[in-house]
Amino acid sequence: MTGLATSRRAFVVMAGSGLLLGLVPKTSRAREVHRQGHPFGESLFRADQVPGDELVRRFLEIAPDGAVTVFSKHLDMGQGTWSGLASLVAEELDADWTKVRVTGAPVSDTAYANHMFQRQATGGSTSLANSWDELRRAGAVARAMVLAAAARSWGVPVETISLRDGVLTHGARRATLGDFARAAGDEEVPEEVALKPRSAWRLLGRDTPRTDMPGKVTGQTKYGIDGAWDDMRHAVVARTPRFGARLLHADTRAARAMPGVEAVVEIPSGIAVIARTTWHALRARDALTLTWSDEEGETRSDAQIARDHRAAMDRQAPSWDDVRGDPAAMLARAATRVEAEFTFPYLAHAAMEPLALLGRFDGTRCKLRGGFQTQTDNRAQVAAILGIEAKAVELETVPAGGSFGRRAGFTGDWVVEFAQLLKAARASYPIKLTWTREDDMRGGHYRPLMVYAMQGGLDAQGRLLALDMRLAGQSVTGNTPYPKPPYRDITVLEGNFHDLYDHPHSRLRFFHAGAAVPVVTYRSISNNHTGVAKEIFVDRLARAAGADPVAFRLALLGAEPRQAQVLRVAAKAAGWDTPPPRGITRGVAVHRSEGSCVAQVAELSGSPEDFRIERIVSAVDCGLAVNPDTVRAQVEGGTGFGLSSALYGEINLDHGAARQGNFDGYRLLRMNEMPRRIEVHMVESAERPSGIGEPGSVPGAPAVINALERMGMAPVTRFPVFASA
Amino acid sequence: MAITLTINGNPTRLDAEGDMPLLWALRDLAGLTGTKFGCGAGHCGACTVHMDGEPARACSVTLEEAAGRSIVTIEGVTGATAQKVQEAWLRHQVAQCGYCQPGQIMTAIALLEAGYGDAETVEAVMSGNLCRCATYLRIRAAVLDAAV
Repeated sequence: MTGLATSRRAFVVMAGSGLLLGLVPKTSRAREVHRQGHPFGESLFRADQVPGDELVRRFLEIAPDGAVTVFSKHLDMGQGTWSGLASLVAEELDADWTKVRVTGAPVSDTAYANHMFQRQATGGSTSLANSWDELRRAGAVARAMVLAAAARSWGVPVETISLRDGVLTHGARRATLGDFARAAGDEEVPEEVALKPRSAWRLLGRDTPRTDMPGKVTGQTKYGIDGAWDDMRHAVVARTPRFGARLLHADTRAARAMPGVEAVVEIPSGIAVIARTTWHALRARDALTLTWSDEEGETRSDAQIARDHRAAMDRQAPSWDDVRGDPAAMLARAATRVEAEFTFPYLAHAAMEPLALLGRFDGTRCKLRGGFQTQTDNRAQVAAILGIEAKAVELETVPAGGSFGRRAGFTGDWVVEFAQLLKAARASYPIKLTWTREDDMRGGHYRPLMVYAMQGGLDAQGRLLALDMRLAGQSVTGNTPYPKPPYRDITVLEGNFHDLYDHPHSRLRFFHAGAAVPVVTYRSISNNHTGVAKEIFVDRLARAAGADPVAFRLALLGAEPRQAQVLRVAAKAAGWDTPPPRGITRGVAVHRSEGSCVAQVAELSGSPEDFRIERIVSAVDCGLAVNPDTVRAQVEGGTGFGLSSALYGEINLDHGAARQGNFDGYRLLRMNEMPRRIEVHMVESAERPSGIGEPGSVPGAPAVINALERMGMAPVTRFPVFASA
Repeated sequence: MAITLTINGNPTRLDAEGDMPLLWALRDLAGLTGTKFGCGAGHCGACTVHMDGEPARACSVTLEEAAGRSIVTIEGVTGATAQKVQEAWLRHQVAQCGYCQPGQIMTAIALLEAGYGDAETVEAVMSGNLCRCATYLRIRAAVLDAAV
């Protein structure tokens, strides 16, 4: 065991270089306890079981000028988590918020593990919940040690020194955190630190400006695609036009002769062109003559895949079958039966930053720079390809220009491919690989195409008696090292009607139907289809029952008091009990995902063919809102994202190849299609924070679709509601 | 061949072919990565710069077309309108992932400098810039705020 003296002294690193309280790349002495294997499990991690100085070293650094750097183990892809995480440290440290910066932590499978996944990864809207204890504790330990150092230096009792906004004062004496950062390393590491009571918070629970906002407004933020190292070259890859096709022949002579071209190399995914600029690489890629196999892999259209998925429900055994009560008998006995079928298309995440990576491999060590979301897996994947140890792979994680699930794919395809490129190129220079929009959009790893068949039965009083729901599609974990169906695959099933509404007779069956199209999670995991199908179907049941849609849902939410509450709050705020203004039609939806509950009431004007969303009233319970303004922003933006997916988004396949390649074919919601107004009401909560990066993207679309159906639009059977083709 | 143009006030000589899009010249040759690659086809507006004071999509302008012109990117944009717009962006905490925001801001500055600031025109023009995080309500609020 490491002696106390050593651990006390370990605070001081690289003395004289300006790095005082800081991060030391050394083996962790952590005594973390983590157990749960799936994203929605409770973390059993106990921050108070990690030595305080170790927490400080992992997560923060105080420079002599008082600047505080927080090291984030989670990826910021727009959800604002870097700023939220930093506020946990800054609150307990009493730092000057204007002097707090955030940077990506290096990879560590222990020190920087997500306690819910037992590996370094960002997802499931878990970041704040995950780091709630460890970061506040890190800040509190650092604060205690800085104060102790000041007390020693000034020769006064520690409790007579005040610390606020990074400034220590005692009588006429004044100093900053930075003045005592070095001396703090010589102080005893406190065994116990008291975290601030809520009443003493100055940052948490308030609208704190995001630390990353100035950089993003001035163009200074450097994303993965902006990476630049000395002597760097630029690469693009010609990949298969059709999922599962094999490269039969490549004529690269013309491409090699193009100006600016450095190398043309074959890699498992296709042919990579390395050149002086991205444009030179692109131009040379156009000069490649590639022949791909025509019959292997996927050869179907998306319409045929949908028909095959539907047929699987009748032909194949379910990979998950959950029954309660006797739904078959009760459906037969129902006074009214409601049936619905839905087809959800493949969706491209289409983050505004196309995938891109910068890296260098010198034969023994590899360094990569990019917007990594699953660092533990990515590092292992790269090491395996390059034939080096994981510790010889360094990942620099930078903010991502969106992800929405794409970067979290379990296979790490985009990182794996880049490692293969570095290996094949054997270059003496660093290489940046950029995906064009078409590469990104036609590259698969989509939200899976899912087909639903739902049947509900109402009794004579209009109460839900029984439900039978079947869904068919590809499991997101199906082609990965992760467990395969049959098992309750949360990446497909989370958020479905059977599980979320309380009704006595019910059956849920999932049919794992194959396709050679790679699929991954998409913002809100599976809730982007399970939640949408659930909320449209429950609204149709309410209409068939002649019931008020809010009251009908409340009757089914007996086991979900938090959902019931947000539904009541949203309904009240929208004036649900009074008729809408003339010319306005309302729709409602509620959902729980990633541990948070969101209800939304949509108000539409016009007709189903020509409408405008005038207002969306939202109520949110995400536990403690660490930064209420970020919660509002995530609900506003999430609503737009969910509407874009359900109303306009669609990837079609022709003979196994994606039809849409850019934003002319793949329609995204624009400003003039955005709701005019989105109100966000937060339910007061003393609970630790849960997530908000994803849950706001679910109920808006069904609320709007329910209003459209109430306006008289034909019931939706396939998405998007407004298909372009 | 060498092409001469002014970038952010600096006379600049770039050694590149005339048909190279301005976007890649800015990013890969001039090292100005604030101008973003989003679609390469003029659909998204992430690469919006000012060319002789007019908004232009750098992916759809060739170096030949930019020769002799004055190009301003997000890194070099200055003036009262730019300052008002960027301050409004901060006040409204607009950005999420932030990737499209340089293009949004450059479009907004050009719009306001051209004398437009009414809600209808702002929505019509800004609808040409995509934001996948759908920060549209805050973009609109910030532009209208800066227009006052």
